[in-house]
Amino acid sequence: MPENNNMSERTEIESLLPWYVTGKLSKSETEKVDQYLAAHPGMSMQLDLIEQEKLETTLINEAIATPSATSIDRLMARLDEEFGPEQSPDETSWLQSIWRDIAGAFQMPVIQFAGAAAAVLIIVQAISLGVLLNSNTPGSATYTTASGPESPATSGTVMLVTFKQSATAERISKLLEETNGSIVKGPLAGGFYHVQFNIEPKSPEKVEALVKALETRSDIIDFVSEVE
Amino acid sequence: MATYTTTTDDKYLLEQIAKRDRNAIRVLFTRHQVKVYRFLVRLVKNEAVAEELVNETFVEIWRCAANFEGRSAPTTWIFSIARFKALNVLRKRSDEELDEGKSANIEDYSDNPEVTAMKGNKAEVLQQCLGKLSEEHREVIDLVYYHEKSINEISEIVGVPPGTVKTRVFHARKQLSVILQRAGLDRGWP
Repeated sequence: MPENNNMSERTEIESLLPWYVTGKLSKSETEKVDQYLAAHPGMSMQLDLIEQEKLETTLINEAIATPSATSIDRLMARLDEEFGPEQSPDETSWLQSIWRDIAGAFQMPVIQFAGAAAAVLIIVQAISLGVLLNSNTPGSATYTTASGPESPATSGTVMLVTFKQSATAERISKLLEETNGSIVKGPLAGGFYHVQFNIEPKSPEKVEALVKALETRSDIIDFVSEVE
Repeated sequence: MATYTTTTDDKYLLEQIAKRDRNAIRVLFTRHQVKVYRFLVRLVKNEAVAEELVNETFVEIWRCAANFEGRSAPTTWIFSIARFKALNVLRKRSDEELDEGKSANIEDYSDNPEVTAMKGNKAEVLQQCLGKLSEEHREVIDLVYYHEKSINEISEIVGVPPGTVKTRVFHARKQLSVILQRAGLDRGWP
């Protein structure tokens, strides 16, 4: 093969190597690079250089702080301002559906009212502040700031939840009370909370039913997903 | 309300955003805001401006989700919007600086690569030399290595043909070797 052809092939392969290392080449391109590297083992040193470049580039980027936790609140406020507030479904229909869904999901009575939970955490998700408070319920009362301590882990299923900005502490408290849920962590970045429910995590049917039941309460809950 | 999990597909989220589902934009935002923010910080070099641009980007996504045709990956589309927003800010900033006769240079009081090389910290030298690449080169290096975008994805984000992307990254790496050599580190390539 003429030398200039060798050079152009070498340059072509060299230009593909960064994506070869990140695994972003097509199958045919990957095979082409594999074959070239097998025939030209000296080029393997390039892979080490690229790995170093990748590592240091990643470290540079990871050193940049994350955006502030309130940025999602500002986005939602902006959407409200420009496109109008979000619509909430009828509350009455939720009460009926959550009873139906949860009752079907659990073999034991899970809707236990005051007295069943020692303390119920209440989130006040004010538009300007994401302050997490422990609320006064007929059992005990404690108060925790947004960055406060996590509750001790107990058995159950933990869900990742965000609440509507418009949801009041009273309504959130009532929802948690009725579903036997308690906030064990949060607020996290993006306004997320970990809420623990008293169901076995190894029962996907029950977990799915709980998610569906909670999703019907879109006037209070914005997002819900099982923590994996 | 649609069901979203940590594995919900971004395309599905965009479909729901087009139907005006606030939960979908919330999930999409939470999923991508950090990387978009870092991409923007590297472009505009100002954290407050970058944070504002992240919101501008997602407002635009809310506004135009119905126009997403799915021919590219959603993240490619998101990065394209973010980059466009950043370029607008940079153009405006450049005009203002020309008007006011200001310099955009930020003085760097840290050791230069040569001094760091003498101290023997190769990783730090490499980071400093990466920082000395041109904006054009640094952008594609970030997209390849940190954001792990393919050639075609970078082509769409930056708005140049795939061949140009490959050439630009190749030259960026060669330039990095030159800068490293000046700093006293010969890495044996090219």
